[in-house]
Amino acid sequence: MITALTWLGWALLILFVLFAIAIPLSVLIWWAGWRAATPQTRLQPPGPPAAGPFLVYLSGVDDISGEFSTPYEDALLDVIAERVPGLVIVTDVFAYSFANVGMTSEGNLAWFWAWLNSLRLNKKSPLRRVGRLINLRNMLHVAVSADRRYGPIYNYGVAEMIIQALLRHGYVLGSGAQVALLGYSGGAQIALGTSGYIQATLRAPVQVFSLGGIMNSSDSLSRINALTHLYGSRDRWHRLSDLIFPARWPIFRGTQWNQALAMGKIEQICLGPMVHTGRGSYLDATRRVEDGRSYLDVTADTIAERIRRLTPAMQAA
Amino acid sequence: MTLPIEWLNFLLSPQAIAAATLLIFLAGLSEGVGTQGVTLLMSRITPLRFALGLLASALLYVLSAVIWMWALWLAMRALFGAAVPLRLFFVTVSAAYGPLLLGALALLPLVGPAIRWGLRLWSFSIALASIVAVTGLTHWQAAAGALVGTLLMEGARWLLSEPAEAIARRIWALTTGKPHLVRREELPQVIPGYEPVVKGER
Repeated sequence: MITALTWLGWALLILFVLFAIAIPLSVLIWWAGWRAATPQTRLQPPGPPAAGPFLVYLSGVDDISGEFSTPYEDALLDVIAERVPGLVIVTDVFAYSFANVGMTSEGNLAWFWAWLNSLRLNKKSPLRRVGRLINLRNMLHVAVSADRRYGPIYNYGVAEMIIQALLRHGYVLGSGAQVALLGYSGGAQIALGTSGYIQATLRAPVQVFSLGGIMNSSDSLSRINALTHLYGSRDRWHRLSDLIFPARWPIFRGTQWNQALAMGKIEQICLGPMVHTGRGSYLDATRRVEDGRSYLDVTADTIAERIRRLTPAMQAA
Repeated sequence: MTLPIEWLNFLLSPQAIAAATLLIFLAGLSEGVGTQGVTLLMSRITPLRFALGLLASALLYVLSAVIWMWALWLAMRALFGAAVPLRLFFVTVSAAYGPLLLGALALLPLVGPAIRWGLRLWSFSIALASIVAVTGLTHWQAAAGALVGTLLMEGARWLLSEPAEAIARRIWALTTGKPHLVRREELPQVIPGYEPVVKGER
């Protein structure tokens, strides 16, 4: 029995390692031009022009496609939109694919991810926890984005998908309209990694919001206007970044991260006693802070205020 | 000499030499996939040239391994009078390349480079143990000899660095069809096709 379990353990480990290696390899193979462009990577006709500003939302590691979102995420984005006049919200970007292909449309594995998703959504299923494999797959994409070898290529690919989404939502090239990227959890790494390319390409103000985000230092920090890291005092996950990314260790003062911190480009704001996800998280509309606002309102207010601050017309008003 | 006679006969056989060379070649291929492979793909070369690039890097790896072991053998002989046939020394120390068969694990995101260093340390410790087993020297003597041998090789590499670099560049250009490898800093920052057209700029 023990031998069979050991063999199973080894088989799963090998499978995991192969899968983990396949992700950066697929990114590099795409970059090398060995694989034809997917329909999503071809430019689609732009939408009716909008003045902006624009907010691109990149979901956490439990996301499965650009179309998938939870009611809590939708509620947060709606509240932010109420507070920023003219704000265009972009949600149809899947951060964990350089070609913006959702997991349920992902070639031969589409059925597998769809099955896992149905398992995790079924609260009565005993195999519900197996659905966490979706998070694991997306975490590996976060690792690829944060890796200094693969990150520049992966982030370049996702940045192009974000720009295409901005155009679909009416972004006018050369308008200089502000682009804000909001990344939740692992999405923050992708938001920060892609932001430098978006700023360099659009030549417009770009700021990044990290909601309990896990992110490495990035070359983007030298290009963007600001990075605002929002966290809760009970969120343990966001602290992981300070441990696992040496470029964020205070002893390495010359890194982009520590230089940006010293310049005041990175703002770290504790929103209150929020946890990472679920009840009591940044998206909770039922729990309240001392001044009576819900956790969701505190999060939305902080983001909306900073988007307005970087929009010249709103500053004048 | 502490090795049994049957082992000695096997280690001196042509099959053992071939197996040792194959082991080093496969380790070179795996290490090449883990390190050189990223650079090759980043340089946007064709699949055929990618395979040629990896093959060339594995062959160069075998060459450098042979030179390193020869330098170690010379150092052990000159410093401690270790009288071991070069063939036997080569076959035994080549066991150090076993862990490097896992060199492709360097591709793992984030943890890959740390794994690569771990494998190198593991490989070095096997090299020391092999030297001790084959020469009968102490661990300290083996370590000192390995250090001197490595320094000898690095010294030769430094003296010949210019012609060696020229040859390496030539091999790179021949196999990949690109004048030089693409570094991370050289990757484009602007995504073509989306940048705004500004008056006065092309």
